[in-house]
Amino acid sequence: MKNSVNNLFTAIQGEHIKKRGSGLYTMSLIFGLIIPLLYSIIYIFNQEATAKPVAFSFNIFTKHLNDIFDSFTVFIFPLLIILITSKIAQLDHKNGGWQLMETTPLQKTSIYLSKFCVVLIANSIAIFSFLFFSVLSTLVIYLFVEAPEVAEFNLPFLHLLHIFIRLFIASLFLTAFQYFLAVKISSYIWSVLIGFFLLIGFLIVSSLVTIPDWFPFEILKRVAKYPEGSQVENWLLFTEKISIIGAAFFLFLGYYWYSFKSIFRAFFYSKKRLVISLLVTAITVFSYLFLSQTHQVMLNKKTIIAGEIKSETKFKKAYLIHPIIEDTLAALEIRNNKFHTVLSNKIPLDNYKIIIDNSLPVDLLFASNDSIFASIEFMNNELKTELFGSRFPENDYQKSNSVSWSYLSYQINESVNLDNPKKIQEELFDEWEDKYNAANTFKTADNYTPKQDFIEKEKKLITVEYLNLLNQFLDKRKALFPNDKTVLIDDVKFLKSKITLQDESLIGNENYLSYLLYELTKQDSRDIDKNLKEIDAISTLEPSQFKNRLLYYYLKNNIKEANSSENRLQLVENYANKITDSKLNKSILHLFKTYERLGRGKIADEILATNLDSKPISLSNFKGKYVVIDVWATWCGPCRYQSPYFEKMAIKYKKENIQFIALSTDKDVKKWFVSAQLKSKSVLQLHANDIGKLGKDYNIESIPRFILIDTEGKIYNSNMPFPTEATFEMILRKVLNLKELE
Amino acid sequence: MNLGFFLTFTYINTFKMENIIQTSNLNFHYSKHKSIIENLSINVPKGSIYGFLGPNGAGKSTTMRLLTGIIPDDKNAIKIFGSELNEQIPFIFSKIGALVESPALYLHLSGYNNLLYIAKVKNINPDKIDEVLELVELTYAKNQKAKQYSLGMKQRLAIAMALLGEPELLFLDEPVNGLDPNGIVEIRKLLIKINKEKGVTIFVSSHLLSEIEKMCTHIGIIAKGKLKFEGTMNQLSTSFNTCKIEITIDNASDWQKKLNENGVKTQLNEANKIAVLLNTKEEIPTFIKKLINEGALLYEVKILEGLEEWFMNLIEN
Repeated sequence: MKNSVNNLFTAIQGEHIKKRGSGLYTMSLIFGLIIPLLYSIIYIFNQEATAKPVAFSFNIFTKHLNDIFDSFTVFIFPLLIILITSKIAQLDHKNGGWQLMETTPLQKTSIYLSKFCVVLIANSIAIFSFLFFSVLSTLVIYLFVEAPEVAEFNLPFLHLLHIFIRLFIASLFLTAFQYFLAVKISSYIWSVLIGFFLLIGFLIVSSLVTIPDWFPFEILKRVAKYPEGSQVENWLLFTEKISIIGAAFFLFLGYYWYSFKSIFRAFFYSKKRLVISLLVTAITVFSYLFLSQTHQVMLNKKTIIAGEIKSETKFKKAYLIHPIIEDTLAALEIRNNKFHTVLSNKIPLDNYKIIIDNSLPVDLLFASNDSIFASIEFMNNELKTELFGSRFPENDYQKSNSVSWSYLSYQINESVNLDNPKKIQEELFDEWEDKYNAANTFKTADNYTPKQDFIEKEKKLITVEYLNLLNQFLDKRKALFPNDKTVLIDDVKFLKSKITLQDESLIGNENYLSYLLYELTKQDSRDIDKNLKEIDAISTLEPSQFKNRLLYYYLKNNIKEANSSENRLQLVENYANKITDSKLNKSILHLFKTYERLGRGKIADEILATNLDSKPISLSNFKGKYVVIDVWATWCGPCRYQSPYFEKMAIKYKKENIQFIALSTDKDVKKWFVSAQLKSKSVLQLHANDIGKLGKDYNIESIPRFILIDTEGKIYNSNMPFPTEATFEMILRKVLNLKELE
Repeated sequence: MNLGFFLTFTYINTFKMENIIQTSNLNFHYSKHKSIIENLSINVPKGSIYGFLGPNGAGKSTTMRLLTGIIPDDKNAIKIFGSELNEQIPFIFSKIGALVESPALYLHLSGYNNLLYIAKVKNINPDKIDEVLELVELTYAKNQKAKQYSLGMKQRLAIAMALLGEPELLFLDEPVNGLDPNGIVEIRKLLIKINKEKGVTIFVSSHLLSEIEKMCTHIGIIAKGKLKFEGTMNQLSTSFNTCKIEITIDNASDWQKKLNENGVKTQLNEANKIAVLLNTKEEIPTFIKKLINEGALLYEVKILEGLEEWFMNLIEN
């Protein structure tokens, strides 16, 4: 053993004499350098395209590395491996060296492995060079470009080391395979061409079909696709482990073939060799099968929701709610910006929301027995959430699910080929089938799959999506060919049979609701408001919790959108009693009362606030004047957009009997102070003292919100249109008794 | 055990030990019907220069590759240094220098670096490199790339690579191939020198008898994969003791007829040249005297090298 190692070591030293002047290592160095160099040049000279304001702190080296990682691992690095393996084998093919080496005291293992080792050294140089120059290029970039304030400049040494090792291991399979080809095929051009065509083929095909996880180029690609590595605390991804197996197999194959000169002699010549070859093949296949099996997250007995909020602001309370029904599942106490709760009731799978301090919404997918940890960051008025825990495959699935272009929906939208209903329906079914089956194939970096409940639901949603498309198509047919009846084909009927009109698990999904209501109201030919039709249709359903929830949701929306007290009253009188669930019923009545309380002519609740000089000011100070209030916050994008229009109005109506107030609901008073200083003086800048009370009193569910109060301190309009809309000014002119604009 | 048996036993043993290469019924074929090497049994004594002769395609290179293990011999028919070759691969090559299918050189490297590579893998002190360079007279070109070498220089460098590290046994496949006459003489001298001074056994192949007959102590002749002759140079000379001469003479065809009538074997080579077969060399003066006496106008008398013709005969049949 020791002798063999010495022998190998001698062979490697010999290879280093032989490769003198061939520039192998220099080539590796240059290949590592290319991408970072190009990138930094482009970045420096093309700043506009790249400069986006960023709110969250991030490591600048990691960011730039991730920008260029893909192009290195998918193209440059494999190309280098193809060239280097061929080149090193060529040194001996060209000069009759393979025979020469066999007449030296080198063992064949040493001969075969020594060259492989040289390639591995070249690989390491290329990876190191790439990482080194990507760090260097980042430093160079920020000599010329101003760095974002939130960027961190500490070198992520461990991360780089981890990437180095992963990339090295991921490259083993391709290296062993290409080396095998290069030794076997004595013509330089062919071994390079085969590798090159495989690479180009991979690049073209990989966006169209799923590439098997053992494919050497795919293994490399996944290092860049998942730069952070495993999500389940493994040092290596399973594909990287497969790389080791593949490399071992091809080294065995290549070495035996080389050493015994022919396939027959290498693998079938004697019983012993046959057994060895079968054994190695079996081990390879079984280890691959073992490594590539899919996993599912083990479920807990309890349902745990926890999280941490990184922010300068301290938060107090959060509610876990269902987004459609707004049913509160739990109230979460936040201590030191951390929360943790165990839910005992049974919860169906759905997208839920955590609302933190009535302002920050965090989306959350879970069901009973899940353990979810939300890592929330709230910095510079921007919110970022990352979810961990038992639903990570599902979260990854949702992230990866990009919208793909569909010829079918193009045809329907543009009314193309609608004269051939059978063909459109067939296409619809085919496209649905593709997508439906694709839902089964998603896997995470560690080969975890989403759980069955999620996949089932996802499949239903895909079906709903296509049924909506079908309905859209049928409508168009009806309009374009009124006399031509469209007959549904069997496949489409089958599609329709998959979705029931009382599926409670889909109640949180907008697409399902629109499908449902389309189906419920399509026979209703009355010439009345669409909303009313829908709510009518729901109220005629058989009593069930499904109906309760649906009716609640629609009634709530209609009450919010109703434009008069009378309308609201009508809605409540006609439909509220149809909700048999007492909790939901109560909630509707409460909502109604809140809106009534905020109706025109009702006394406006007092608002206590502070101005920029830290003096207390209240709403009652302005009696005798109209008051228009813009409720906003510095972190709110739409508010910042409306603000200038609001100021424009304030300047225009400066001389009238009206006070413009911008009322901030910022948690961080300092932020408000800095921001408000810069605003127009014609708007009075105030900060609300008790944000919670303000929210409750005026039912503020979202901002910006504009409230108009009359001279007697009574509400005129508690939910004004936005200043960008013409009606905003029309309302102002009306109350100020100014003549209408032309 | 009686003494006679003991002596015989010792004799056989030493005889066996003396053979540095020994094959017994070595066979090789690419396909079942086409045999390349057939029942080849050769014996190369220690300290000899063994000339392995045969026309192109006779199986010389294949034999050479079998002897160096480049082509594996599964029947274990080859013994080198007294034991089976297969057991000794690859470490046996620290005692063997081989030049198979010349020239296996790294053309992108300098002459010196080519030798440095061999020194590295054979674990030889690099100081020896200058010695062999001196020996093959390449010192002046040692830092030049091998691709700039002439054919002769490449050949000499390849020989230097085989010589490096003072091997006990040297395999040289057509070492003088492509060399000019001067070069051939130089190589010949060199090989004799290292054979004499260092006792290196040399196994050298060639397709031209004249190239190597002057230096070999032993000869093996192969044709169509079969060994036709094996023995020392002396055995070769004695087994072939007729003498053929060529005379240049006017009216050659007339003279040929006349000689034939007298029972002398002749052959008309050119218009004025006759080849005459005599029993021994010693018959030449009498034969010539007789011709002159009979009035022949003789211009030239030349001994045709008997060996060459015999060799041609041997390999053609």
